[in-house]
Amino acid sequence: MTGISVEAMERGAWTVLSVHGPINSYTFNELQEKTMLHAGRVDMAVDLSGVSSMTSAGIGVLLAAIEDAETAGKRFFVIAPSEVSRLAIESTGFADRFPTLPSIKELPV
Amino acid sequence: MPLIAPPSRRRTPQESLGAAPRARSRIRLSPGGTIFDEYDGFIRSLGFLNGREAAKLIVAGDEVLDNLMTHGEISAAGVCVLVTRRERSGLTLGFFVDSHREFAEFTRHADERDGARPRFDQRERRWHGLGLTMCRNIASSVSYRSGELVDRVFLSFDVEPRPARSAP
Repeated sequence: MTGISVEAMERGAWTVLSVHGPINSYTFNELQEKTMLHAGRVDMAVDLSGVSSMTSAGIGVLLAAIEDAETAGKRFFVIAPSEVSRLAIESTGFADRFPTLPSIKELPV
Repeated sequence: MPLIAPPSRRRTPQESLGAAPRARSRIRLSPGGTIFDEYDGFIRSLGFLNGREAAKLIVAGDEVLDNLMTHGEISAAGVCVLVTRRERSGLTLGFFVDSHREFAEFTRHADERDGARPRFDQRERRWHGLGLTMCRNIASSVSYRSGELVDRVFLSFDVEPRPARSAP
């Protein structure tokens, strides 16, 4: 099975998680663990440009991270979602809950 | 000069009826963790889908497979997937699996879930009904058919205009 890779890097005030591969019930644990480490503690962005597919398991992880960030007064962005991940987000019916930027360069200072 | 007419090609039943052309393809997916790779690869290989259509079928289909896997409904026989495209009536994505008790229970209450919003369970820290909502928002219709031998899930999608295909 193709797994996912989740790499964390610092970019100024931001912690950016870059995700590659398919996010589903079999693979979402790694994303969940990494987001729980950072969400609500630091300003965080998740780069979805390398995501090949995403089910509600991945959407649930992102929503939890967004909620943690809001509760703690931290910033959160989804970066450059691939076509399938953007469609998955749109299909929830509450895409406006996912603050999105087209590129990592657009992250505010 | 001999007046010999060229041999005429017999018209297909579809052409005789004036029906729109149809494209279809199927695959049997093995149970287990590779099922998503197999399915996504299959959908991406279908030349009769454009990039947007393939993306829709991947998101909605992965969600169906995720649910079937999570609830242990896939037997050793795996899952048969059928994709059909008709220019007039659109795309149909069908899943066929060996009959399972949990699926029958789900279909019994599926109508009650129509229009229900997904909800977050604080105690379990997970969403309920989110995948179903995603499928309903992507597809024009979603239906579940429980059977004595085979359970079926059908999703219909509108066809997109035909731009050049791009990878999703």
